[in-house]
Amino acid sequence: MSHAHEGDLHLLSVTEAGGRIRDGSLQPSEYVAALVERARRLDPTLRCIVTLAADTALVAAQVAEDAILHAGWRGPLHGIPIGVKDCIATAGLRTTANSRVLIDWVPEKDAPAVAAIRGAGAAVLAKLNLNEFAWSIPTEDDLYPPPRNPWNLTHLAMGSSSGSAVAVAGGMCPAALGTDAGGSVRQPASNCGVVGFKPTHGLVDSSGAFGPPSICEVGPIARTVQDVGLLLEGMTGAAGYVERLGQPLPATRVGVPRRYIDEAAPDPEVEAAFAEALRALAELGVEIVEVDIEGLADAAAADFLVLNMEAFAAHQEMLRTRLGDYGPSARVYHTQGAFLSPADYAAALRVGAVVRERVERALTTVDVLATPVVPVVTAEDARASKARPHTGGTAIFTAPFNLTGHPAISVPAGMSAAGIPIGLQLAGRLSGDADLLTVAHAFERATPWHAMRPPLGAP
Amino acid sequence: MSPPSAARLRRMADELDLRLTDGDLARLRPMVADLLAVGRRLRLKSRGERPTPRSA
Repeated sequence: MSHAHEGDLHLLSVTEAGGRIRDGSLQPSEYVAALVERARRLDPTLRCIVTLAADTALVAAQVAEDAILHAGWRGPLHGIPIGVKDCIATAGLRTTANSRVLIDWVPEKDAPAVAAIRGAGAAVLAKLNLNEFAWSIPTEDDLYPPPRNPWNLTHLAMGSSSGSAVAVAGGMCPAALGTDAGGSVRQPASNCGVVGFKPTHGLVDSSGAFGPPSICEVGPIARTVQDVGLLLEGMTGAAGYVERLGQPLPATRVGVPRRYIDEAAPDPEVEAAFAEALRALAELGVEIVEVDIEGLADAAAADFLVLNMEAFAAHQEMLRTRLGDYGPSARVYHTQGAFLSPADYAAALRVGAVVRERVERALTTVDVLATPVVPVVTAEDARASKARPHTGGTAIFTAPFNLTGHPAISVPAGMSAAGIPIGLQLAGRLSGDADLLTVAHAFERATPWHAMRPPLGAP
Repeated sequence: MSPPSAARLRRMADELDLRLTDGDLARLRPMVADLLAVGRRLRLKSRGERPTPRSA
């Protein structure tokens, strides 16, 4: 018998739900049923779900329940329902990438990241909405229209992992997987008031997901840094990302690339939230120092050259044979790379190598770097033509770390006048993912933003 | 950098067997111009920059 208040189940973090499943006060099938009910009620408004896998998730939850009873609890993801961006392959479950090109595609195999979390006992609850093939500007006539921001329903959510961030913020699942080739996990997480993490390049096996392989990572979105750490442990099969969280923060220096931030001219509300976040870090005893890393803006632009060329390389055959099945923006976005040269691609990769070395050098003098996540507040501003989204204009702070491969995280750090959240980005050393999570967790615990919930009413 | 002409884009698209509409090409022109400008700028800048070779 459950001791949990059913009406509060959608508020549980992965950590909390896992604890209750472990001690027997929450049954996975009860948990999944509550989230399915909430998803059915809210998704017609939020539009974050492409496929709700209610039946298979309930079966998986029942299997987890039986296994826990007879063979024991396997770990913190055992019996936890997870959402998956619909460009990540899921065995036996339709994977559309929100494109008419794949409207009926049912993969035979899970992407490795999905297989890993299923292996850790998680259940796939839903496939989540996105910009078509994770590289497009969404419109109302997409296969599935774009998700609304749960904090302000008059706005859409930033992409491309928009559905993943909306589903987590809206309490339909405690965590989700997204993909990030220029900021597509961190930006929607920032925009929806949740945590989004892009791991070091290659730490998570990101094959089986549509995305440019040189710069794209499968990354978790959750409501807390600790939950992101649990998902990372589930996807990598390695421990060590959670155990240090909550311990006193060692002497830490945070580098602020001030000139680079100023040149990007962020919205005043973004600037104010960033300044307040730095004050909060300083109150934790963190030393804030300015750093100057030449070429970060070039790295952002170069990331989008790589993205465009690898997107065209991956799609060119389908563009030749199924062009009419791509949406009006996706067909244009995926074709851009056709008109670029191998010399452009080589130059972009060279910029990546140079700036990677500079970032690593800067990270010998500081422990992490801090920047805003997005220079604008709303999805509409990010998608406006003047923002030049096709060359990564609003990914100015996020895209450099895709090209260089450094881990980077967005944590909630403020609220705009329009009631839309604003995030803080922290970036760490290559393979320094655990250290980065430690700093992000300390910031999260010292600030109130992660505890806020969007005004969606009672369950 | 001025956008590549529609005729040039049409020729390149035809060579790649991409059946883009005139509307697609009109939308692509300024986007491709931006990207070509980025590529040109990065090629010029990166001529003088090389990463430190990795040791064997």
